[in-house]
Amino acid sequence: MKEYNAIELEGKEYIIVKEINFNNVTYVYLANSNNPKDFCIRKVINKDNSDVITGLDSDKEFTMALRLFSEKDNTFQQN
Amino acid sequence: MDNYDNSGMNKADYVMGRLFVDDTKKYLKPETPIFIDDTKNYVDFVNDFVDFSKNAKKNSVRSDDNHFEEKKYSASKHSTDNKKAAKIALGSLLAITVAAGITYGSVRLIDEISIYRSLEPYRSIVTENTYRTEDNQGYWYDTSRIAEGILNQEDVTLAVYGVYNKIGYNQGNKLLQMDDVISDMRRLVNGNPDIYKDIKTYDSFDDYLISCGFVDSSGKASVKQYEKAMDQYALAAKGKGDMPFEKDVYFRNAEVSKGAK
Repeated sequence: MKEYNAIELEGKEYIIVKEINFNNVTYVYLANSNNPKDFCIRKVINKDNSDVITGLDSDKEFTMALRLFSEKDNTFQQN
Repeated sequence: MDNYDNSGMNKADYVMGRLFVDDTKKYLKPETPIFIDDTKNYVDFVNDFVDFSKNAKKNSVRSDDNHFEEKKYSASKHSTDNKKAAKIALGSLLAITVAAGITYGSVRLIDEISIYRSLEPYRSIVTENTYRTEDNQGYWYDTSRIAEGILNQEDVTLAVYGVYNKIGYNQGNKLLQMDDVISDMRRLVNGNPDIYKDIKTYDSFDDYLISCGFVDSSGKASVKQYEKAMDQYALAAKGKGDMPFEKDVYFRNAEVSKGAK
């Protein structure tokens, strides 16, 4: 059986659909494993020498992340 | 999707909806969370994606109400063999792709729909005055009736653009037909000054474009400039954005001075 990367956020499991690195920030595209309509984008930043996943700063950044997604190879990333 | 006859939609919405859905359908598969339902009209369909995109944005962007949990990423990753995972992930991937497309395409799409809606009553003037040629191989336009139809509208400027938008079987023919329409408008106005008061007239479509400032850098008539300004005008007529120039200034007032922005 294939395995997929996932992460728990706010008590819910999200499948990591895609990671895209842009300008030293990794954008992570996540889909709720129990509700495909629940999708979100987070980013991984370096904070105190740790890679921390956090929310996006603005609507503009969300739009930019969507654009990144649409411009990249849209294949599912799996283990 | 319903066909036009039983859709309960006006033709403009229906046509734009079909174009949009047909264009989008190629991205969608049944596993997409928001998939094409053949009984669903395109407005619901677009709204589904708009909702999807809005929810995604709300779930992604920090706000005063939404701080989100911060955690170490690498250490929090784990593997899952959730059987639904692949299907969900693939469906989401496709939905995100479409949502991204809509995010960028929606402004243009919604604008196009608004423009189409704005122009449809005037496009109908052409439709109602288009006839088959005797050999049934082509069409001809009763430009005199079309000109009369335009002059009976409250907004002549928009009516002319609606007719321009519809008339002609190619760009060259469109311009020829518009010359006739503008020329017929002048004839009708000059012949019926009591009916068509204070309506400004033009010798030809070129004369109209140049007089109103729809010109290129060399001062020649530019349909691109005309279309750009009039699309904005049509949107403003639907309550979207600012008028690029005063309403109907090119036909209702004798003074033509502002030019297209």
